[in-house]
Amino acid sequence: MCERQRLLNLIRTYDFALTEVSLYLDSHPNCPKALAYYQKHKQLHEEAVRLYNEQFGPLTNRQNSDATRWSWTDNPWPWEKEA
Amino acid sequence: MDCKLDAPAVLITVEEDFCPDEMPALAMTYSPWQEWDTVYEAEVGLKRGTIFPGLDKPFCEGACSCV
Repeated sequence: MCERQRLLNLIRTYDFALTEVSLYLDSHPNCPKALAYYQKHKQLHEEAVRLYNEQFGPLTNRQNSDATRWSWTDNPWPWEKEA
Repeated sequence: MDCKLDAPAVLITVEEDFCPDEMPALAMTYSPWQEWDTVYEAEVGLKRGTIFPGLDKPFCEGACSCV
């Protein structure tokens, strides 16, 4: 598996975990274990997105960090296979 | 279950404080309050469709072999 695919899988994995724990926290807003799980996976998710952005460009158009060019449209779309 | 063919087809009025006494009711669900317990690693959770082992109830067509 290439690095790009590996990072995408990691992002998907952490994103799903965050969705799950967020639903739990909706009804258990003071649960310390759920809050710790949320914080841990939020950091892991952010780190994986940061690594992806650095190496493969933006995943969403909010992550376009190039001030001189709209590089969002340069990259293969995240769901496309290796270009 | 009786067919109750002789029951009136339509109820015109309902008394105040009317409470059906036939239980279980046709549409009433109950869910226990979820408590945080051991959860799956994120990788396992994605594969199973939930991070909560208590909610990990895969659909088996027909019946599970364990039944």
